[in-house]
Amino acid sequence: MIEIKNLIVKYKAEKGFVHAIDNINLKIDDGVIFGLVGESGSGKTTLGLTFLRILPKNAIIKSGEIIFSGINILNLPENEMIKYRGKKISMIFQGAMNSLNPVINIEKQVAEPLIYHDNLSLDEALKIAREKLKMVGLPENVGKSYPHQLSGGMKQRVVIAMAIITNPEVLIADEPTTALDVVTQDRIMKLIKSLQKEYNLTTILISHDLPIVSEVADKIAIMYGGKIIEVGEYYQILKNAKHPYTIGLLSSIPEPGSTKEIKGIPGEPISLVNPPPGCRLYNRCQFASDKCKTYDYSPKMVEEKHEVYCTLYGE
Amino acid sequence: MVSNMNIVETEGVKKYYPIRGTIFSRQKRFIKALDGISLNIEKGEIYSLVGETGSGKTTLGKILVGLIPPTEGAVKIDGIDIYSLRKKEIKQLRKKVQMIFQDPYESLDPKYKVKDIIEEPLKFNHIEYSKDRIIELLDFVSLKPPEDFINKYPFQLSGGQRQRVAIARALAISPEFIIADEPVSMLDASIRANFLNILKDMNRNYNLSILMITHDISIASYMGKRISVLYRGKIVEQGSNYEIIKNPLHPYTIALIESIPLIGKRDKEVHIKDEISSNIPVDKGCNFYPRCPFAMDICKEKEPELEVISQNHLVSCFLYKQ
Repeated sequence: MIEIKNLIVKYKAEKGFVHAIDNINLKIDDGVIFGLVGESGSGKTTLGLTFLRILPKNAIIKSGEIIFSGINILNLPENEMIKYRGKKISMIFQGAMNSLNPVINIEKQVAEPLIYHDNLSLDEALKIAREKLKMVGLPENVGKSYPHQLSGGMKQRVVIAMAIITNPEVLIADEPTTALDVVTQDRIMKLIKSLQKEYNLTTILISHDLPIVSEVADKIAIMYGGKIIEVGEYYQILKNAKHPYTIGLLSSIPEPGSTKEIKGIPGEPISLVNPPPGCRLYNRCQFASDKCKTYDYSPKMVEEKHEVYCTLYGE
Repeated sequence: MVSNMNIVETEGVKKYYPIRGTIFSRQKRFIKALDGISLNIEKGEIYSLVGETGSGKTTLGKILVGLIPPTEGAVKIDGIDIYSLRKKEIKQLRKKVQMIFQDPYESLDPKYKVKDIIEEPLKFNHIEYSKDRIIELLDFVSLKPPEDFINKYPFQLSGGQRQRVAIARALAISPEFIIADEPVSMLDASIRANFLNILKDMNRNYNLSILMITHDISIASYMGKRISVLYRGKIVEQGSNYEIIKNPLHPYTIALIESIPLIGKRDKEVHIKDEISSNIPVDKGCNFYPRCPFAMDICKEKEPELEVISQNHLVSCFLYKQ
């Protein structure tokens, strides 16, 4: 199990601090797909980067722990951390399929982590790379081709093969389907689901797209303004959403063939540079009251396993 | 002169880009970005064009707004063939047609204030206006209170606000037709819905015709009275919103609808083969042949034509030929 406790991450900016992750607590069970949903600037990518400790230079981990197999990885010395980064914990970065090296063939690129982490010879590593390429559903000859010869969906499969080649225990996938066509998106999500099932791979799926996440995730956490605002089993979030923001997200999705008017959430996402105290959704929420101005984000259990961070459900 | 029912009519529009071959290859080859597009958009209608990356949907948008000439075919805006016009006349056309681009971070001049951005098309076209007009436009796109926004620079605005400024700019000269090229794909889910509703209000309040270009068939269906589905430069299916969504015929349209991510729709099945490579041009036969689960021998040999199936429905597929 992974446990995130009281995590606070800030970025130093010109006008103060960007409170990208503001006191987050989460538990992620082994072998689940954990969906982390939020819009741009909600802190979801920062959370992924914190896991691998590859935050940009202006970031400060102010406090908190990330406990993974009993060890707080935020406290590990760097020479220990490299055994986790890209080895036990792998990440698929947003847009990674466009950062494949254009002049190295696919199988060599996929094999690279093994040479680096496990000191395998090139031949041994290539052999495993070919197996992994097959595992992610690519035809055999792909290994010898170069990135420009592949479609977007195929490149994304290559990136996934690269991420799982070290047999990680945790896979963090940051927006793995953005910029892909809907048909291909569906294929990639199915692949992620099948990897989880077959290898009991704990997957943290970071996305802005609630419908896509809702199709594969076992648990879903919704983020807004650097805070977790609702977390639960996928069906609890989808069928019994409690937070006004989650409800707003769910009602903003057009359903083909239905003439029902979709509604968004009024206003603009909050700036995380020195945000005021209280609920971050205050200015956009139709249920906002004075209580919300001083809300301290204490969670409320609305049903078993389902937590909401909102004053509407008692403090 | 009889007034036109259609704001846009295209007939067999083609756009070919030559591929440079090796010095030994004599034969010239082309990327067929658009290959015979015929459609009409009625006045006051929202028309949706769906297609994946590389289907040619943006190319068509650019041809309609007069930015790039087609290789072949005719484009009429309000009954006038725009590619037979002289420069001066094209300027007249620009008053009728405006475009909203995909990326609000790139389509606004960073050195201009919001006010200047919206004024520019008015000045360019020598249209008289008052300050109230700018206020009214900002108010319409829900940048409230407008006075707070009028002197801001793009970098002070969020993506959603920038895109609203882009709409206000497009509306400034009261065009008759707006091409919206993936206007919400860069926006967050929570503000996307409001934005689409503003476009719908524009259509309703000003009887404005809109071409909605999108890769998302749910959005196409939410917006459009009619829908065309584009695949590799060709319209594979065309019809009323109802027919396309409730009774899709082309295997590609069916796969598109099957693959729509819906809340809680788990274990769905999508009937389509994976794309093998990014860009193998299909020399003969149907473009969709390599990915079609229902492909027949004839599909490999011959190209299907877009044919009428019922009053509001056209499809380009051999499955529906007697």
